[in-house]
Amino acid sequence: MDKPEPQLLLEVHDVHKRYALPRESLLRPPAEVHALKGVSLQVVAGRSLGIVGESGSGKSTLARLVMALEQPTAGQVLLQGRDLHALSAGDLRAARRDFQMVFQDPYGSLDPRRRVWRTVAEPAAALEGASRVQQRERAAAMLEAVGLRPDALDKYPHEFSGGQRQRIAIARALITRPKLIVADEAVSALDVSVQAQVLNLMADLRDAHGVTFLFISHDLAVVAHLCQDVAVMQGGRVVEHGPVRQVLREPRHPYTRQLLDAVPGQGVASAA
Amino acid sequence: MPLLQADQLRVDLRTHRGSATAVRGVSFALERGDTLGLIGESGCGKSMTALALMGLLPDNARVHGSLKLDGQELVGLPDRDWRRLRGNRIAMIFQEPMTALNPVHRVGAQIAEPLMLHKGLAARAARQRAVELMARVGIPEPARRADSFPHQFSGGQRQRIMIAMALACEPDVLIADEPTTALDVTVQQQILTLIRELVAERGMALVLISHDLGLIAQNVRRMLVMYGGAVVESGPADAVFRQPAHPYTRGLLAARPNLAQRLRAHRSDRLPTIAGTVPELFALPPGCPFAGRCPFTEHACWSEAPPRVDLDGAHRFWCRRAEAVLDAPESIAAGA
Repeated sequence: MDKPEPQLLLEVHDVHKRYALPRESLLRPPAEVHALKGVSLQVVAGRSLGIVGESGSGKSTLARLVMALEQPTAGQVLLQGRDLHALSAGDLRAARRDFQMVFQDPYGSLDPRRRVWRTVAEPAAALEGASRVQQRERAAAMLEAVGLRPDALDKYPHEFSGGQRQRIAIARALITRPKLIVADEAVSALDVSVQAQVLNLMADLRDAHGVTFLFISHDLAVVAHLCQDVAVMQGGRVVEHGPVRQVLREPRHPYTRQLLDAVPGQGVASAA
Repeated sequence: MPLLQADQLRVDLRTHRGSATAVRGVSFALERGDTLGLIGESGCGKSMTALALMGLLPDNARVHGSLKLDGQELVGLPDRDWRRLRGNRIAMIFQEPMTALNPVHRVGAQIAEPLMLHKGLAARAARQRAVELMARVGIPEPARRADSFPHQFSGGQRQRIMIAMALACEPDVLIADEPTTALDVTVQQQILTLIRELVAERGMALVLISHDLGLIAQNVRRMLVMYGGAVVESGPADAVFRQPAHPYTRGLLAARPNLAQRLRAHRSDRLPTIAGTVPELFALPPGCPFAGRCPFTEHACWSEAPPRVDLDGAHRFWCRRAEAVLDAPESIAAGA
């Protein structure tokens, strides 16, 4: 059997991001926050990468840069070899077909005044100018893929539970058949039993549709469950990066060890 | 006589859609130094139970049953008397320290307030005590920091200040409702260690409410598992985690991704899930709240309240199909 050459999906090269704080005095330059201090990462197609770290470690900033929602202060983000931040607005729009995002809060990320099919079909409508009938058909197919019934099409977000809403958000991300889905704390707000359903759905999508995830979470157990690789961030830097099992078994950086010890009731040390 | 005793505590809510029972008969007894965990998912009634313990239920709620502090009945107690107990003998740590602290008052004054109110301390003595409390909960330079405002502290420090406030009057009962949900994992542990130390040091009783299984496992001796407003299983925490009996408890424990398992398996397996979704309070069956989602459901489960089944050492669960459930391997009982 021939194994295809692993395809480099995402490359992050020495990315820095500084934010200016509100100016406190007219006479002094505004203070800055150095949110990312030279981050380099690679994501190979088919190997989902988990990013763990605490609030303020820079993981959400990284997600926004990868989604080209913000410009890095320095460094490059390459998606399938193309520098995202050097693309023209039109080319970036076209490129967005290949990468989509799922946000943390399934209550805040869906428009409450829109029927579900319109929310789900929006990326396809915006990128491809699909007709109304096509949009509905494709939205129905995506809802089916995430395990929702077709009658969900004409409902409003408030008619769904938190887990179902997150499925809708995932259906929306899937509609352009992306290669990469950036999920920023996408299951953190969900109850344990609902979280399990959404994680299973993501694993199915990974296996059946070939979606690769960049999965950001503060929860090491959740990251380890879904991803093949993991990067640990602290203070705007990647302090450890490698295959999940290797990092869990032989954490090198003291901060990784600290994170592992902080996962309560899992008995990792005894199992290792 | 137990310090705090709840007996068939029930909370009914009147809403525009009719009456719903948010808490259906919760019973427990707490002694000084006891630690009790309430665990369950959103809508299971754990926070309503906490509010009932604090006398802070909304106006449309009615409490039935009995709740006694040192033998004194609290159900039906007038507001005026509740105010004398709250923050004084029963104190609470809330989930979100940024909203629970007043943003326009200096933290020292906020910690001192209950001392002046309940203990009649003069302003200077109360402030002195507030500074001592801040030192005890691990705020560096407490004398200086007492004059800071809440926004000048980190999330973990704010939760420490909340704890200092809750402890100010040396309460007998401390209720912590998801005290670390808003905090980073490494900070979480520090805060829980602090709470545990203080409970042991001052002989308080602790009620810890959380949706986080690991957190409950590590921090309490006894626990109640709640679903649909009812307690479905209770007992020593280590026994419940070692041999979960109720199909819901089993499902909940199995649904959590497990690091140790991930280390052994090359690729992660699917997580076992619980079939169906949590029904609305209005739609709960009159019998067992888990009827329908449970793979062992039989006709009578829907209509008749489940009987109590006693296992070893005060470990018990409420189930009509106990024999079948206990005979089945845990993986099947999880309902996967």
